[in-house]
Amino acid sequence: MSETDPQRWQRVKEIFEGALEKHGAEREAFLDRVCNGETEVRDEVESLLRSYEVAGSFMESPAVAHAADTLEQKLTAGQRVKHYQVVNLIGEGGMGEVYLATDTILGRRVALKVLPAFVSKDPERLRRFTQEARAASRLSHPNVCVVHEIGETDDGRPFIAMEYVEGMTLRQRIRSHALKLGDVLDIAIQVAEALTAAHEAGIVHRDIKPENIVIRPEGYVKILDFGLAKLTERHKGATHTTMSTLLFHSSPGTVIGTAAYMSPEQARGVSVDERTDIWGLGVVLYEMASGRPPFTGETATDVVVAIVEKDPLPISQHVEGVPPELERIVKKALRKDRNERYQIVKELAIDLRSLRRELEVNSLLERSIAPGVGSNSEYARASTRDRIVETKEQQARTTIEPARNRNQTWIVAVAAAIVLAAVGFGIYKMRQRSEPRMRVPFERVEVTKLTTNGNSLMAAISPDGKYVAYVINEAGKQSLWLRQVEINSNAQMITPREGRYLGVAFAPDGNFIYFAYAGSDRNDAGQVYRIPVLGIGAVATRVEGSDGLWTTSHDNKRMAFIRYDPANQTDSLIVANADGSGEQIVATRKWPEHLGLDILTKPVWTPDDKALLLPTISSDPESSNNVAVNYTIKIFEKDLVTGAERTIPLDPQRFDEMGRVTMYPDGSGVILLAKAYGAAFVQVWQLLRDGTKRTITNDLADYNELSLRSDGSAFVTVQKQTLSRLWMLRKGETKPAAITYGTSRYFDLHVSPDDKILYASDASGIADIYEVSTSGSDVRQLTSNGQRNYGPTVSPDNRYVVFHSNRSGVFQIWRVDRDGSSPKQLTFGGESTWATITNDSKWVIYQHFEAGTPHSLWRVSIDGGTPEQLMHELTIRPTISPDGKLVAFWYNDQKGDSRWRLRVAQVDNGATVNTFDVAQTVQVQWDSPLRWSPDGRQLVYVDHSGGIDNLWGQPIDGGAPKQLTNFEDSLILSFGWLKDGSLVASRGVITSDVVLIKDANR
Amino acid sequence: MASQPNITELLVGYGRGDKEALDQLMPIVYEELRRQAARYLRREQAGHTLQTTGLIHEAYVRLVDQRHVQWQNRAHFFGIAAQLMRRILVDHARTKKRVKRGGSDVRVSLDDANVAVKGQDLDVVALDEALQRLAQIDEQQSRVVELRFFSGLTVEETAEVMGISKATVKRDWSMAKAWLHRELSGDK
Repeated sequence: MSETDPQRWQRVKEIFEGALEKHGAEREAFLDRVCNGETEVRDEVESLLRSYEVAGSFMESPAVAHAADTLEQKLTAGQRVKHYQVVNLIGEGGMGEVYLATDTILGRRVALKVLPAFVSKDPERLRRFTQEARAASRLSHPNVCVVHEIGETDDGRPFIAMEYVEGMTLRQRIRSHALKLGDVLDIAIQVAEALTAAHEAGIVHRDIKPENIVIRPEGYVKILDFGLAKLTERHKGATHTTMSTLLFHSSPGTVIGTAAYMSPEQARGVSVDERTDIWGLGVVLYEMASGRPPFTGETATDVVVAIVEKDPLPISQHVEGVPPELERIVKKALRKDRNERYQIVKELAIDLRSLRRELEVNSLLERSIAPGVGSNSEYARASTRDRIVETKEQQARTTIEPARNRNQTWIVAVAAAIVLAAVGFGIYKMRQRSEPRMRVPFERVEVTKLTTNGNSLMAAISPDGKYVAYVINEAGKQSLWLRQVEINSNAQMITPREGRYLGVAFAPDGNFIYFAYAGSDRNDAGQVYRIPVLGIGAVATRVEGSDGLWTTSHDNKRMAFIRYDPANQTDSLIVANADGSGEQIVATRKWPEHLGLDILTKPVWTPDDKALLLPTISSDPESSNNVAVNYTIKIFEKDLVTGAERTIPLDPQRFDEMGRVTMYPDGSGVILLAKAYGAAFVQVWQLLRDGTKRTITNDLADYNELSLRSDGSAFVTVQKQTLSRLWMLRKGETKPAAITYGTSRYFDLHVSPDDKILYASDASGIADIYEVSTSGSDVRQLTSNGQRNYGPTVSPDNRYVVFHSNRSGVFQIWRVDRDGSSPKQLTFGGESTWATITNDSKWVIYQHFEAGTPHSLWRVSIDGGTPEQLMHELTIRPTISPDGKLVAFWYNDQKGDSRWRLRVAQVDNGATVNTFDVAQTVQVQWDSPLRWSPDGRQLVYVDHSGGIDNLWGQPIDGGAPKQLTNFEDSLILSFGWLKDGSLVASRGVITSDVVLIKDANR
Repeated sequence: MASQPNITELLVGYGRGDKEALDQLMPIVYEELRRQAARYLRREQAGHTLQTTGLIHEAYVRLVDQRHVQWQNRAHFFGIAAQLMRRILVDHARTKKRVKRGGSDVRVSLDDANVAVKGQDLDVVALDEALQRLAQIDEQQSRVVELRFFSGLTVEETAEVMGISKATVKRDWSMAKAWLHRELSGDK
C-alpha cells in the first residue's frame, strides 16, 4: 500500500492528530487501541511523531527570514559584474538598484542598473525590452540616456549598463528649489525633443515622470529608462501599464505620487501610444510649474479616479504669474480623450518654444512661478547658477534678404522656417567630452538643418565653410542654389530645368562651383560645368578634360590631383607646381584598378608634404557569383621622396553599400557614407588610422553626398528620411483614415488570409517583419534575427510567412511558421527576393538574380528543394492573381526604349497572356508594388503623376488604365486589400534636407 | 467610469486564470518581499526577533485599497501572494545555490556565515520540492504550509484565507511539518 493512497493517508492523519494530543504511556495506549494491528499505519504514524519531536523550530520562522539576505543582497564596492567594477550604490527602487561603476575595458564610468532576477524569467519580455532600449540608444539623441549593454550577472539578475549622467533628477530638483519659468520651459522642450526623436522611431517611453528625467549641471536634460516599461507590461505588444507597474516603482508612502503619472488610457488598461507620453509630459509640466502633481487623492484609487474623471485645477490656483499660454498648453496635453490632446509631441514642442520666445521678449524667464521659496538663499544661489542654455534658433533672426540683382533671384530666408526645422532636428551636442586624449574628429557635433524644403538632392560646402551649394528638385525640375551659412541667405544659381545633377563641389580655391549635369535623356552621361561663386550674372561654362579636384601642399608650392583618362583607361596621380605647370605623373593605375573613387576624390598631403594619401576601396564578393559585394576601406600612400607605395589598412569594417569617401585633411583617416553590413541605413562613418571606427550620425535616415570643409572641421550632407503611416480607405468611402499614429516606416504590406496586415519596418534600425490588426493595434513582431527582412507574403493556407532576408549573407527567400517560428531557408545561391505563393500553397514564385543574367522569375517548392526557372527575360515583382491561375510582373525587354511594361502570364506554363504599357509617370523600381485588385480583373500600381501618388488599375482584358484613388498628397509606399474590400496603404513622405555637421570640439 | 486595473482586479483576474495578471502581480509582491527582507535584517541586527505575523498583511494594507475590497479578494490576495512569495523565494534560493556551486565569491562565504549564525540552515529548494510531493498527497496541507511558511500568515489568517477552522489549520500544520521534516532529513 503506497504512501499516497488516500485512504491510508487519511487513516495516518487521523491517528497522528489524535496521538499528538497525548504523551508518553497515554499515547502508546492510544496507538495500541486505534491501530489495532495495522502495523504499517502505526509505523508511519510513529515515524511522523518522531520527526515532529525533533523538528523543533523547523519552518517556524517564515521563509523570508531564510531568504532575507539573498533578497536584500546588494553589490559591494569593488565587486565585479562582468567587466564593470562597482564603485558605489547611487539609487534604489522597485526595479532593483543602480550603482556607479567603472567599465574596466573602456575606462569610462557607467550607471549599472541591476534588475530583480524574476525579470529574466520571461525571455520574450526581456528581448522586447532589450530591443527597445537599444533602439532608443541608437537614436543617439543628446537627451536620451544611452544604454551600453544589457546582460546578466553571475547570479542571474539582468543588468543594464548605461551612460552615467551626473546631475539631479527632476524630482530632486523640484523638491530642492523652485523652478524658474525659463527652466520649466527649457526642461520641457528638451524632453519633448527627445520624445519627438523616439516617437519618430516608433518608440514610446510609457513612463515619463520626474524620476526618469535627469538634469545635468550645465542644464542638459537626459531621459532615462526608455523601454523599461516594456518589462512590466502585458504581452502581445499591446502596451499596457497598469497601476501595479506604478505601484511597483513606488516606495512606501509614495504610492499616490507615482500613480499620478499614469495616463487615462493606462488607467483603463487599453493600449498605449505616443500620446501617453504627451500626457506624461503634461503632468510633468504641471508639476514643474505648480510644485504639485495635477491629480491627487488620499488613496491610489482616488488618484486614478481623478486621472480618469476630473479636470485638474488651473496652475494659477496654486501659483501666481502663470502665463495663460502655459495653462492652455498644459490643458491641451492633459485632455482625457487622447484624440483631443496634442497628437504629436512635436506640436507641443513648437508651442513651448513659441511661448519661450514670447516670454524672452518680455524677459519673464527669470521669474519664479513656484510659491514661497523664491526668497530663500538656496534659490538665490540657484538663480545665478542656472543659466538658460542658449540655443541656435534663438540666435536666428527674422531677416529678409532683399533681392540683390538682375539675373539671380535671391530668395527670402524667414527665420521661422528655421526655427521649425530646429524643433525637429535641433542644435545639439552629442556625447560627453571624455578624458583628455588624442582629438577624435566629430566626437561631439553640432547639427544644423540648412534646408527644410524636403527635396534637396545634394550639397557641397566651400573650403572656408562660408557657403553651401545645393541642388533641389521641385516638380521634376532641378535647380542649383547657394547659401551663405552665417546669414542664412539663399540664392538661386541656376534656374530649374529638366535633367539631373550628378554631383556638385567647390573648387579648392573656393572661387568656383563645379557640377556635373546630364540632360533628361537617360543615356546622357553628363558633362562637368563650373560657375563662379560670386560673379553677378555669371553663367556656367563647360569644363573640358577630366581632372579631379586638386589640393595644394602645405608650403603652397605644389598641387596634386587625379586625372581620369578614358582614352587610355587609366587613373593617374599628378603633382604639379602651384600654377599648374610642370605636371608630373607619380602613380598610374590601369582600369579596372583605380586611384580615385570618383571625380571628387582629392589627394591629401601629409603634414611634411613628403607623401600623398588617397582613400581606396577593396571590394570582396560575398559569394562566388558576385551577387553581393562587401567593401572595405584602406588608405593608399605615395611617398614622393622615395617613390614607395603602400596601402594602410583601416578597421576591416564591412559595408554593404558605399557612398562618398573623403580623407581627413590631416591624413588621420577617412569620413565616408556607407551602409554597414546588415544595417538598414546609409550613415556617416569615420575610420581612423589608429584603428578606431564609429558612426558620426546615428539615426533612422539615409545620407546622400558628403562634402568636407577643407580644414576638416565641418561637413554637409543630405539627410533623407522616409516616414509613413498605415491608412485605410473603407470600401465606398473617399477619404482615407489613418490606422496608425505618429510616423514610422511601413513597407511591403500584405494582407493575410486571417485579415492581418503584415509589413516590413526598419523603424527600430533593423528591418523586420511585423503584423498588425486592421484597427492598427496588436502589433506582433514575426522576425528578429538582427538582419534585414522584407517582402512578407502569407501562404493561402495561412501556415507560413515567406519573405526575403539577408540573414545568410545575401538576400534569399525564407519561410517561417505563421507565428514567426521555425525559420527555413528556401533558396540558395545568387540573390532571391520578392516572393509570391501559389493558391495551393505549394510553390513560391520569386525573382532571382545571378551575375551575368537578368533578374528573372523562378519558383521553388514551399518545402524547399531545387528551384526552376520560369522566365528568362528581365522580370521582377511577381504577384499571383486571386484565382491563382495568372501571375503578373514587371517586364523589360531591354530593347529600344527599354521601358518597363506590365505582363500577365499563366502560372502553369509561363505562357504570356497579355502585355501592357504603363504611363511615364509610373516609376518602376525594384520595390515598386504591384497587386491584383480583389476581383482579379485589374492590375494595380502606383502612378506619380502631378507629384502625388495614386493607385491606378490596368484592366487585364485590355483598355485604358483607370485612376482608382483620389489622394491629394503623400507617397504610397505599399498597399493591399482587406477581406471586406477596404484598401489599406502605407502612405507617407520622403524628406531630404541639407544638414551641416560641425565638429563641436573645434 | 471604466474599470481600474488595480491589485484587486489583478487578483480577480488571476483567480479567473488570467496569467498576465500574475505577471503584473509578481513585481509588486517582489518589491514587498524585499522591503520585508530589509526590515527583517534590520531587526535582526538590532537583536529583535522577527514578528512573523502580518508580513503579508502589511503588504495587503499598503497595496490594496481596502475600501474597495471584498472579503473574497482579501482571501485571494493572501492566497496568491503566498504562491508568489514561494516562487520568488525558491528562485532566489536556487540562484544562491548555483552561485555556491559556481565559484569562490567572497559574498558566498558571507552568506554561509549568516546562515550558520542564524542556525537556520533550511534548504528552501528541497522544501519546495517536498512540498510539491505533499501537494500530491494532501493539497490542503501543502496550502497551509505555503501560507504559513512562505507567507508568514498566522494560524488565524490562514484559517480565514482557506475558509477552514483554526483547529484544522493547526492539525494540518503539525502533520505537514512532521512529514516535510522527515522528507528533508532523509530518514523514514
